[in-house]
Amino acid sequence: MKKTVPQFLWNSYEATDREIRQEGEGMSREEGSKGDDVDESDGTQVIQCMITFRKQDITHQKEGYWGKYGLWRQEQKTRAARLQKQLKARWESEESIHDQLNRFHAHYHRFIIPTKLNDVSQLLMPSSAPPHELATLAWLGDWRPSSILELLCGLAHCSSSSSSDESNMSQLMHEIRIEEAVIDEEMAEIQATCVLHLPFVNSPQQSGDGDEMGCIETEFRKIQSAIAKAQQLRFKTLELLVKKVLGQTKAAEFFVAFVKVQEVIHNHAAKLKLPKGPLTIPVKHLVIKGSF
Amino acid sequence: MPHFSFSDLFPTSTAAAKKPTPATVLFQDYYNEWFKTLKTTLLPLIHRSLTDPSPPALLSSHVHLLLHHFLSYYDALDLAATVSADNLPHLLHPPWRNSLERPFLFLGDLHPYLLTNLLRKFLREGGSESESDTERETQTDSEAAWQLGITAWKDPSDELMVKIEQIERGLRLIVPSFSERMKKAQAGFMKKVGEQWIGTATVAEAMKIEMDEMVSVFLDANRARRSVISEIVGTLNLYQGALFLEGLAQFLVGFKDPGLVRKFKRHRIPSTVAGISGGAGGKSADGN
Repeated sequence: MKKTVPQFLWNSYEATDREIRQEGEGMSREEGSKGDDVDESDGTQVIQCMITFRKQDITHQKEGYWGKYGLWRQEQKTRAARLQKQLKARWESEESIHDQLNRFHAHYHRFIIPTKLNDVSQLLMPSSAPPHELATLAWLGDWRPSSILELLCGLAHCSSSSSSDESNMSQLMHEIRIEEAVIDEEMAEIQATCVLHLPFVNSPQQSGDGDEMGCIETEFRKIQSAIAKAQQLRFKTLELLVKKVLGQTKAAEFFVAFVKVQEVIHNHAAKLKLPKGPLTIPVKHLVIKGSF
Repeated sequence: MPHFSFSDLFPTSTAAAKKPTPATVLFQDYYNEWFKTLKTTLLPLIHRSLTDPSPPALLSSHVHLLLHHFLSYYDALDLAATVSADNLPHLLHPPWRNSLERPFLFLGDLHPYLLTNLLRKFLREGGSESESDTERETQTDSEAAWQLGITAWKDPSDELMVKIEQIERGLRLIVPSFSERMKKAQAGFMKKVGEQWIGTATVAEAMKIEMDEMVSVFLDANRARRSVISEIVGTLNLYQGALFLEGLAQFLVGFKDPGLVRKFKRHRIPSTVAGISGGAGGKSADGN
């Protein structure tokens, strides 16, 4: 027996679906009224609850692929809704699952090709994700692969599963965690040694005119490579989940659940960015109350 | 001697100062002032002390000022994180750091290993450049300072090397636990969300628990950074300590060089490079 998303969760998702939509729409209206943070190139309403910190990001989003991030989220929701309908009608197909995986593949690989160095920073800390969302689950700019597996473990908590499924899951978790640790090491190495390579500490050895950008580019290429590996690991995690741990139906159920959990986290995190009182006037700034 | 404190950075009126309630300041404003003081006052001050013959007492006082300035920043970060866990996400991904600097941040600031690597850089350059650089005849101001620096790092004592290794060992013991704890906090959040799902309420509760743990990791990381900077300066002699702090300040200031940042933002990645995918493989989902 494959891992199962419990029925009561299923019902909860349906019940909260309306709540999610309302929250998303509410935030869209509020943020839209600010007029400076919303990605106007995105025609969707629900997912426009992205908050950015600086005005200049808008231009960037309009021009770059980050302007499409909201579309990706909306598309995910549409696909999840379609899958859910198919599940209800009990005619979910292998094609639908592969289609869903293909979308993840395209998404993760489309985002690993920045055209400007400046984009690399956006990949790591997308302005489309509110700070609470980033702090809660982000790892190199998106979901930590082992967190995807943790979510499944949590969702499957109430259901029974065979020892072979448990074993497959445990093996997958072990494998993914090792790969994550390798990428973590790589990133830590870049952050720890950048002082040796970036030409900021005065030294005639590093002061060659015109070479500054070369040094910076080299470091950013390393970061870009780490991000690319992280994206591939995310996709690999989903792919192995579908192929080795979940069956067709359960995979469809999981995709639906995954998208909805993402939405709830995103919307809740976006809500936490809104002003809470008179002392926190501008949302984009962090306010500290202290003995300054 | 100028003394910089929070109250200097954010002077309040006499009437306001009498009020029992603490002032509120935007962290971004605090950081901007902190950075401005570093760049326009403290860095030039220590640079002048290093290049011009200064009495040791004056150099020592400038070293103390700069050290205090760095440490005070970590105090401010701690304060911000403990006042409200809701501040933490902003501190971990600080919007007041620019896009050139952000990718190099670890838990919202410099990676602790970076501090010992900076020290190793000085030691290495001091040890390897002695012969060729003593032959230089014409020197710019910064080259002269660098020459003096070379002398400062020449033939470090065994005692110094042992102490540096001790600091590095200490870091190797503690830094991996930060990443591990962060990972566990994220895993715990996700598991809780999955197990106890009832919608937004579950997410809110799980997020709060996770943020509390992350605050603890953040404070520990700051403690590590603060104590490594202090230990390094305490271990080095006065001149070496001054050079180390100057280098650290230069490094931070370098990220905000307006001309460089402008070039950075415009800089396009060559298409052959942009296409790298870190061994992407690009394996398709349908197994092709």
